[in-house]
Amino acid sequence: MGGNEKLKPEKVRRYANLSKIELSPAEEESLSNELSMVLDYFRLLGELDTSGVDPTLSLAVEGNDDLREDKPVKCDPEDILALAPSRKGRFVKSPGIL
Amino acid sequence: MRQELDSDLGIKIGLEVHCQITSLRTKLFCSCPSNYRDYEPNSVICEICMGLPGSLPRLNAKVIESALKIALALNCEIPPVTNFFRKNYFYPDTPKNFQITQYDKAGGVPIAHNGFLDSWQGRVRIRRIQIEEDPGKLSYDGNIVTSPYALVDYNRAGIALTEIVTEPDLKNPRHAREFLFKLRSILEHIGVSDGSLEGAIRADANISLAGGKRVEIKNVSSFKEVDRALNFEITRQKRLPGGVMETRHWDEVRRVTVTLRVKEEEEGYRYFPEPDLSPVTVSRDLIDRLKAIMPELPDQRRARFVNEFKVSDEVAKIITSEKAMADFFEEVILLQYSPKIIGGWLAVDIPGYLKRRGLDFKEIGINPSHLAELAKELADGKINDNVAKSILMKILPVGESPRKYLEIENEMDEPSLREIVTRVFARNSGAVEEARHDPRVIDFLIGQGMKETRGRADHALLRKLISEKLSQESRSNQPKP
Amino acid sequence: MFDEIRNKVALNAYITVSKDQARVQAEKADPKRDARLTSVAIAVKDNISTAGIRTTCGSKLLEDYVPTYDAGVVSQIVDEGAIVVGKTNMDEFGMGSSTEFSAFGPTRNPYDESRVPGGSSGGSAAAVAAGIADVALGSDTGGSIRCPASFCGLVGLKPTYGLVSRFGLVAYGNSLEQIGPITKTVRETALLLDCITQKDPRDATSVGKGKAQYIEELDADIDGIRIGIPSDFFGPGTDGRVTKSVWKTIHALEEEGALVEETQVKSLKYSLPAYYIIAMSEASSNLARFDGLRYGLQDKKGARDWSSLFIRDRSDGFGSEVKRRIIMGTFALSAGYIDEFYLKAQRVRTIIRSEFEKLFKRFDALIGPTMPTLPFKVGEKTSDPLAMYMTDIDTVPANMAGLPAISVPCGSADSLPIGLQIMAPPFREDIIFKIGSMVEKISSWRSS
Repeated sequence: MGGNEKLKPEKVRRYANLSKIELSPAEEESLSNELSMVLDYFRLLGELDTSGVDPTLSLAVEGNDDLREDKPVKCDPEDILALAPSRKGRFVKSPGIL
Repeated sequence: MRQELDSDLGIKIGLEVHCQITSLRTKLFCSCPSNYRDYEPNSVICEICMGLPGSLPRLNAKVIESALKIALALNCEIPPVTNFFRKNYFYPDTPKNFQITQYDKAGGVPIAHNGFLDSWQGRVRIRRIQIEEDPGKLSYDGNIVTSPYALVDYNRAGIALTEIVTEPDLKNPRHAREFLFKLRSILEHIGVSDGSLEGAIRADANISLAGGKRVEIKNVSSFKEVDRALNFEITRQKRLPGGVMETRHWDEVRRVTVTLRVKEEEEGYRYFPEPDLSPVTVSRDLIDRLKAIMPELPDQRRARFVNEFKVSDEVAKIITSEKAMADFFEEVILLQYSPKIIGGWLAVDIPGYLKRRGLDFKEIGINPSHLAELAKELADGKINDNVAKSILMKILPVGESPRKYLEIENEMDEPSLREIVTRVFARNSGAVEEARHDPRVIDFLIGQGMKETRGRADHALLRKLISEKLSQESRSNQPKP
Repeated sequence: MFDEIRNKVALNAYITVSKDQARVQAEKADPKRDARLTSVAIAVKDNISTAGIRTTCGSKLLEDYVPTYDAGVVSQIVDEGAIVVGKTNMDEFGMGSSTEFSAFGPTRNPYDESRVPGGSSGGSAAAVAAGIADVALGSDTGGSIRCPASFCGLVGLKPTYGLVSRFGLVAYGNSLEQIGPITKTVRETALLLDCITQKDPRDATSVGKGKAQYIEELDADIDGIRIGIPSDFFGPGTDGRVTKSVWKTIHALEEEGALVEETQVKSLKYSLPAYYIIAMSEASSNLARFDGLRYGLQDKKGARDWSSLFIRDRSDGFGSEVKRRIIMGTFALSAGYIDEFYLKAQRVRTIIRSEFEKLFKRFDALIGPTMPTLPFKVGEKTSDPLAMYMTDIDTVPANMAGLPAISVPCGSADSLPIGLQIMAPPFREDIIFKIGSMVEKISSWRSS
């Protein structure tokens, strides 16, 4: 996305789809304006020369994680399963795939 | 019409093999038991593998070692630090709607890369090995297309997988199959993945023909299906030269591939580093320690079988293609040192039998002592090769000792046959009388003997014994001068 | 306490008051022998999981979601004898700086009900400021503890990344955020922090602290302590009254023996856009799990397929600010844009971290205003996302670099509180408490 290209409503729709969010045409229009402004602001970063700089991948303290022992713990699944709004027997029920 | 050779078509096949690390006792990021096949749906789940809000992953300490063993067996390079990434896509079987996996771009470093596996059809390069979590399992009312709903079981969600990605070095479907079997045997030898468990080793394939586009095939459940799916694709792509780059779904029932449009997010998985897990340091010490305890691999074992037991390379290759078979072989020859006999049975007769019955080697009924007993009889010359094989076919389905069949065979040795001849003479005194005058009646007596032994008696021996007995009795019946 | 909560219902500080659970908890309480929070009434931000008490994150999508487990910090405070009195209002999933973006309505500032309490932990701050909780827990992804502490005349601390367990904190920007205390005094903040810093085996990034007790660092001498004042923290958007009050306090610290020197944080202006890119990117992934299938709101009107169900549940369940940030985050991570946005932001983050690392070779701490402005009016910034984002300009650097940072009241203007921010090197909360307790002593602000 070179220059100060606007985040057009079609693009907003595309990334909304990828996010599994549906917008009304009015919402697309207003988000297009708002997000274009935000994007312009984000482009401020272009000023800063970051060549040769590694991206931060983690703030975790190195060597802190002693990893989890491979020892099973008894499960208590019923309360968790009960959270699912639609079930069939012990299965979680989802609408069809295709 | 000339049969086209695979090499003419410029076939390139690459595989992505997903292997569950079945040697682990817990899932990849939580302490739920890993033996999910033993449970009712949604019984081995917790807030972590169900992706409840606020839960965090904790990496299984053993998984690194298991993946490193695979990396070493596949001659991979192992970087000093490895890290985890998120692959984002929505799907009902994916509790967090992202999968924690590894990545080789944007600062990602998978556990291993750049290895190889030598096969009979040449070297297959391994692009990378990565650790990731298995999704849950969907089932349908009827099939995936017509079912109005899907039933989700999250027991499998979070099971530790390694994904082994090859370069497109496989030359034909048979080659892919050979590679998969060899890989499976390696995984079994290093003790990380039990390929006999349903769904423990699964492969996605990609294939292109010269001048054509690369097509990915998903949903291939077994090695046999890999072969079928690839052959179908070759035929399909030959008919439609050029084609489009796409992902196709293997329909096992109709045995065709169909265009897949399930995960429309394929275009962007939006990989980024997983903030909830620290990068993992892989020390030189750990690698050295694992190298030191690395068990014998199938290729080494095959060479040893050839050198030590003098079996042919072909036989050794077949036996070592499955760890269970190679182990069985060694157990039998400890009891009865007849490697050639036993090797032949294991490499030819037993696989043939299993194939006819649609069985896995692990479903074989007999135990090593049964086979040793049988081999001893053959080695000692008490039975011949054909008899041994026919007994083998009798004991395989029931899994019993060959003893009772051997006893029947033992009846046919000379002393037993003499007894049978005595019985035949007693029951057929008239015929015996006639035989003294009419040699053609001897054939009748032989027939009675064969009947008595259910056809197992040596025909010539039986004739000899009957003739001897007839002449003895004639002499003894002669009035004394 | 529960009567007082009822009397102050207009503040809308709580989403759920856990009166019954609190009674049960009080009866069954089996605190450890040397419990340090016995009978302390604690308000918990509604994105921190509480077993048996609904945890909504201020979202319609989770209005009926009742966790099956307690967050690491909740287990720790209950062990210390504290009573969870309720779950506090917040900007949905922590996305906001005013507690106006809640499905349960805005929270009001107890000092002026026409103004916002700050956010996103505005309910926690309002509850403590109004005396309807003794202390509170909040969470801070880009200033969400310090902003409401500043706007409500309270002390609020964002601990070093990794000091406090995040297990059970519903993630928004998980490489940035920490749970921390919001209290009336620095002493209470130190005490509450002492109670929640056990290393938690369920959080791989949790470090925990050693044996040191922060509460012993209070009232210490600050003679000779080196304090840097980055001029960039007093940028053009800073209210003159804030600048004046903060500088007045800095001079008072100088009189107590602190060695004060003006300095610069050159990367500060890049910190805010980089922060928003990272936070939104992480959010787009962290919030993907809310599809209504395994828990939460589900549209049962018979969706055609799974994808339509997910779209319905999410479109209906999320508020507009959450949708905005998710879509933006999805964009920033997408193939073709990840280099220009997400990875660029993480490179900028590396630069910010190394700049702070260098600064902390010269200084023991850095001081500036927490918020550039006084509490603003309800509705003033809701229609201008960028204006709302700008209010976080001084708080996000600590999250970007994983540093500890506190807001301590230092004065007031027109009866509205002003907060001063102290930042220190990682895991040096002790320095923050040393200086913070001095600020408290010398400032003119007294919380009501």
